[in-house]
Amino acid sequence: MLRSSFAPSRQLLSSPVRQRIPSQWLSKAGASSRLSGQRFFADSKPPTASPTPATPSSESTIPHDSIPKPAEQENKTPESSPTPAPRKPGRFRRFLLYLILTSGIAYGGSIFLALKSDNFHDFFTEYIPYGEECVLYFEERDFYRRFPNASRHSNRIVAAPREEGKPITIPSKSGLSWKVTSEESGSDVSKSGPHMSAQAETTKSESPVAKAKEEKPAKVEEAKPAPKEEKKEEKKAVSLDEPRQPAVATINTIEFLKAQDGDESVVQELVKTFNDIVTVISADENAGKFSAPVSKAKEELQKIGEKINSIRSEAGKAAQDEINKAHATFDESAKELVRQFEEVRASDIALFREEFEAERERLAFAYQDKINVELQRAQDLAEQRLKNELVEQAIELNRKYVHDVKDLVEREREGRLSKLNELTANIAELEKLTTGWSNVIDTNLKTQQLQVAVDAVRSVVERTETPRPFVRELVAVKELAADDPVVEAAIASINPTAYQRGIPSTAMLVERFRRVAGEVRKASLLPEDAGIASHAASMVLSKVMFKKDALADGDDVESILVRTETLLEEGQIDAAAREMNALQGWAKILSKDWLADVRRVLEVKQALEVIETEARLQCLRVE
Amino acid sequence: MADSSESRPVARATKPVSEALLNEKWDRAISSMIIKSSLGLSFGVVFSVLLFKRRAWPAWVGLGFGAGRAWEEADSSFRRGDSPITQALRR
Repeated sequence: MLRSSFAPSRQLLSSPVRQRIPSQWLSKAGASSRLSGQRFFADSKPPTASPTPATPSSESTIPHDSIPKPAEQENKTPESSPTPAPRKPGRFRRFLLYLILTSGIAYGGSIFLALKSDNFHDFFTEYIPYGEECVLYFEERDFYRRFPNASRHSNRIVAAPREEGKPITIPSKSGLSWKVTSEESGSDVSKSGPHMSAQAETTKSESPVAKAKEEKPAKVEEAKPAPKEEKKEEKKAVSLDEPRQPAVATINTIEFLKAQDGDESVVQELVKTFNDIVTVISADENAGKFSAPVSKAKEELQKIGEKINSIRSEAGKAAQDEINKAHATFDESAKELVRQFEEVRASDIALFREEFEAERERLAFAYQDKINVELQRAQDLAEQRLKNELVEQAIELNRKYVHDVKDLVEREREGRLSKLNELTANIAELEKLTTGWSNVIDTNLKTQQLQVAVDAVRSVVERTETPRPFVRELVAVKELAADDPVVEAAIASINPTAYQRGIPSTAMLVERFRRVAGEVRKASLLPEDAGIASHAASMVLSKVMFKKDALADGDDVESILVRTETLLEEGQIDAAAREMNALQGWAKILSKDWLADVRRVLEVKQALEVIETEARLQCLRVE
Repeated sequence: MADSSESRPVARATKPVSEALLNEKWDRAISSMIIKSSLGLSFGVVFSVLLFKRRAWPAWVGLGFGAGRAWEEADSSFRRGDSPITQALRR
C-alpha cells in the first residue's frame, strides 16, 4: 500500500504539471482501495499521462508558486482528467490556500509534538527543513516566558555555548563604565510613566549614605539653585540609582528638601509633600516667583526638623540618664547577690568539712579494727604453723629412730642370713644342673628312639625278599623327629609309591637286570626308526654276537650292559643306574622301568642316610 | 612276620613292563600275520572256487594280500614304538 502510494507521488514530482486538487482530495477521501487497480494502470502509464496535463500555459504559472513539499503530496490519483485552463486560477488559489493551511497545521502540530516528545523532536529537527529553527524559536519563547529575569544575564551564559560556530566579538561599548549605567537608568525612566514622582521615590528610598552626601549640597544650594543643580546631577550619577534628569528640568529648579536621617515618618511625609510642591513649582515656568516663599517655607521646615532633632536628643539624654541609674541599681543588687552567695557557700563549706572529718574518722576506726583482726589471724596462723612443724619434726624423729633400729637388725641378720642365701643359690644351681641333665637324657632317649625307628625302616627296606610297604615305620620316624626340618625334608623327598608299595631289594634288582639286559641285547642292533624287518634282523643277529669283557669301554649297548652288570655285582647301584641312563633309543625304552625302580631305591636309601646322620648330629648336639 | 603276609605286593599294573614291550609287539605281529594271511587265503580259495574254476593263483593272491597287510601293520607299530613323543603320549 505504502509503495503504491509513493509511486504516483514520485511520478507527480517528476512530471512538470500539477494535477487537479479537488479530484485528488476526492480520491483520497473516497476509496483508495477501490482505485488500486487504476493505480496499477497509473504506474505503467506515466509516460502517456505526462503530455496531457502539461500544457505550456500551465507551465508558465508555476514559477510563482512555491514548490510543493513531499510531505503534502499524498497519494494522488493519476486518473485526473485533463483540466481546462479557464477554471485554473480559482482552483489554484484554493490549492494554495489548502497548501498553506495544511503545511501550517503540520508544522504547528509537529512543533507542538517536538516540544512534547524528545524522539519526535530529534526526527523533526533532523529531517524537516526549517524545523529546527521553528522549534528553537518556540523553545526560547517558552524559556523567556518562564524566566523573564534570566533574559539579561543568562542570555549570555546560555547562548554562548549553544552557538559555538559564531565568532565571539566584544562590542566597543561593553565593559564597565558609567555610561552603561546611565543608559540603563535611562531605559528605566522611559519604562515607568511619571518619572518625576519616580525621582522622588528614588530619593526617598536612597541609602543613608547617599542622603548624607546630598545633604550638604541641599543646604548650600538655597542661595544659588542653578549651579547646585549641576553638581547634584553629577552626584546622582555617581550614586547609580538616580535617574537622569531630563533636559527640561535644568531651568531654575528649586532644590528639594532633604529628609533628615532617622526623621520621623511625619517629617518625612511633610518633606515629601513639600518636594512634590517644589517639583510642581519648578516644573512651572515662573518658578522664580515662588522661589522666595518656597525658600522661606523650606527654612521653616528646616527649623522644624532641627527642633524635632533637638527634642529627640533631649529625650535621648534623659533616657541615657535613666539607663545609667538602672545600671547603678543593677550593679548594687548584683553585688548584694554575690555577697549572699559567698555567705551561703562559706557556711556550706564549713558544714561539708565537718561531715568529711566525721566520715574520715569513722573510716579510720573501721580500718583500725580490720587491721587488728587481721593481725590476730596472722598470729594464730603462725602459731598453728609452728605447731605443725613441731609435729612434723616429731614424726620425722620417730621415723629416723625406727629406721636406725631396722638398720641395726638388718646388719645383724645379714651376718648370718647371707650364708643361707648362698646355700639356696647353690641348691638352685644344682637343680638347674639336674634339670639340664634330665634334658640331655631326654634328648638322648629321643635320638635313640629315632635311630631305632630308622633301623626298623632300614631292616624293612633291605632285609625282605619281596618289596613291602614301610609307611608305619616312616610315620614313627616322623613322629619321633618331632618337627625337625631336615627329617621332614628327607621324608618328603621319597616318592610316595616307594613307601606305599615298598622297594625291591638288591638281589631282585640284579635278577631283573638280567632279564632286562637280554631284551636290551636283542634290540641292541636296531637302527633309528626301525621297521619289523630290522627288528627281526637285530633279534637274530644279536644271538650270534660275541660277548665283551667287563673292562671294555665303549659307547655301544653291549659294553654298557656288561659294565652295568659288573657294577651291580659289586653293589654299586648308583653307578649302575648312571651307566644305564646313558642308553639310547629302544634300549632306553626297554630299560626304563628298571631304571625307575633303581631310582626309587636310591632315593629311599639317601633319605634314610640323611635321617640317620641327623639323629647322630642331634646326639652330638646335646654336649 | 604277620606284617609281611598282610602287605602283599600290590597287583601289577595292566601296563606291561618296559622290557616286555618288544615281545608284546612281536606277539601281536605274528598273530595278526597268521590271522590275516589265513583270511586272505580263505577268501582267495572262495574266489577261486566260485569265479575262477578252482585255479590256484587266486588263493595265493589272497594269502599275499593278507600277509602284506599284516606286515605293514607290524612295521608301522614297530616304527612308532621308539619315538619319545608317542612314548610320552602312551603313558
